[in-house]
Amino acid sequence: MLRTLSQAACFNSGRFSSKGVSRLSFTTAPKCWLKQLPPRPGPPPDSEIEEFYLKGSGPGGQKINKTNSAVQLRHTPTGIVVKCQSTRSRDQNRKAAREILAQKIDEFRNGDQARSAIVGRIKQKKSASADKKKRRKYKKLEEDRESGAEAAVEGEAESNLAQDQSEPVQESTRDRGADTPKAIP
Amino acid sequence: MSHLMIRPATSRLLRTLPLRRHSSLLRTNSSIPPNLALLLPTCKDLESARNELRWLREHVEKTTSPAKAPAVVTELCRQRGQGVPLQYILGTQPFGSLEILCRPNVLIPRAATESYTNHLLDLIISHNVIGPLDEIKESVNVIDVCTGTGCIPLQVFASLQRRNIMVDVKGVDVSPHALELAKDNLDHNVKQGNIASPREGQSIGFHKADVFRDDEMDIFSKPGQKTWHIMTSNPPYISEEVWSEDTGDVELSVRQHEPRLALVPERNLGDAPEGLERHDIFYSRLLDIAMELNPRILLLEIGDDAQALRVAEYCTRHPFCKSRIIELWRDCPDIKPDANEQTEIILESSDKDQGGFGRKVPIKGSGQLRAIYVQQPIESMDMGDRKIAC
Repeated sequence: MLRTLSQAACFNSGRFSSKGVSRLSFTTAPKCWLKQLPPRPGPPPDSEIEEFYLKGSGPGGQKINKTNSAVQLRHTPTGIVVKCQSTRSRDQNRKAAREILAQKIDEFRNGDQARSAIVGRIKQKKSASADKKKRRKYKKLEEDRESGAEAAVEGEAESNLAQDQSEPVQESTRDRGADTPKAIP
Repeated sequence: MSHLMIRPATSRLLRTLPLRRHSSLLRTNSSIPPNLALLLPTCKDLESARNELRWLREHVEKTTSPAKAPAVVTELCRQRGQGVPLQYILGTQPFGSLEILCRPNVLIPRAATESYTNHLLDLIISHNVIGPLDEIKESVNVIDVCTGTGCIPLQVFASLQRRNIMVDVKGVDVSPHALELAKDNLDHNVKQGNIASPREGQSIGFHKADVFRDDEMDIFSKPGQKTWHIMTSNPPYISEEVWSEDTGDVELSVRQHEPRLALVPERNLGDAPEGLERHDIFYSRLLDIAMELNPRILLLEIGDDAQALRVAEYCTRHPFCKSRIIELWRDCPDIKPDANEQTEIILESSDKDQGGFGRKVPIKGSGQLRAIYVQQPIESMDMGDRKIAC
């Protein structure tokens, strides 16, 4: 929420006094991200949305007690259909479905310039650099251990402990490497 | 997954992995997780079982310590699988902008009830069906008969209150359990911030009365009593035969856990008038009460298409509906009908004013026929000497 507010402030900075902007941007996220992110796409007008009645089977009313509150919407100009059933409340599902629809329309119209695509790229970059850091760290650890084992014999107990701790982690990184060998661009 | 299994290091690996992955490794053949399998007898399909499992987990996370949570989730899944309504397990059901408390002995609010209540509010607020709201000198007066959890009057109150409209809402029920729960629901939603405490000119109350006793209903229709703008009701409407026969017409979970009083009209209520069946008895009585209260809008929930046509046809003969608009609403009155859904029906009428011809009744929305809507034409409303255009 804070981030959205500060984005709005960044985008309209021409209209805001510099004092107002500085008061709003007290987020820890780097400034360069905030500038890149376009605003969240708003849902299309209701006249462009068609809602479906999702039929359950059999009788309705008091005779049955359905818990299904799914909402399905269609955006008539683009033909995009979304369904939302995350909450028990039809009202909330309606709102959520409209937000999802807004995002899909943004993706459809703006392609890799859509907000979700830009956010995705930032996230990917972040996780790639985290992975790189992690690999560097364990590579260094292993190198240290190997050189340590060659050099010192008296620190045996200590290095055993280190091995115990690092083994499961090694296992999991190896697994991931096998699944997606070239995941990082 | 296979490359992880049957290796010397496996036992050591399993000890270090979190429990969730641990169990998924041990389970080799069953493709359905045990909690989902427990839910399937009631939920019928995987999609709704997954949804319900998620809601049960979210509920347990909020109410139980993390250590006990998995066991509690499994126990609740077992109960749900045996047919206990999800709303009785979780204790609540969302209804419009409200969270309605649910307890055994009181009927659980249904989605269709929520739909037509919201549609009615939309008509009142955006389409002036009881006249422009700022021209109503007193408050908007609403009465809901057979109120149960109080969901309809509470939602009406919350919605009109939010728009700073003066409003007086009454809920009526014969069941002490329902009245207690309806009052608790008012408190609960005030506490949750869904309803603001009533301000001056706004009130909501719940009253005990038997619809079939004139002396108990009279207090609402005393001479000199204010105008009623809206009367709603979701009365019992299931026939005894359908209730007791094992045809699968009434869901087992409903029959075993929800109160019969709210669902099946009792035998001792007398015979229904000509054209109606015994289990339609509430509708003839409610129309008679509407004659006394003279509301501008009457909205009654009905059980199925056949009952809707019987009651609508009875309405065309009833003096209350004379020179009033009658509409039938489907499950979702605000959704565009399918290509194969009728949008109007012609009812045979024996009314002499109609010259013996059929009366055209529009059908709104999509789904099964769910409610009958009777409205005073806007032109004929007594709103001072100004003519109101629709």
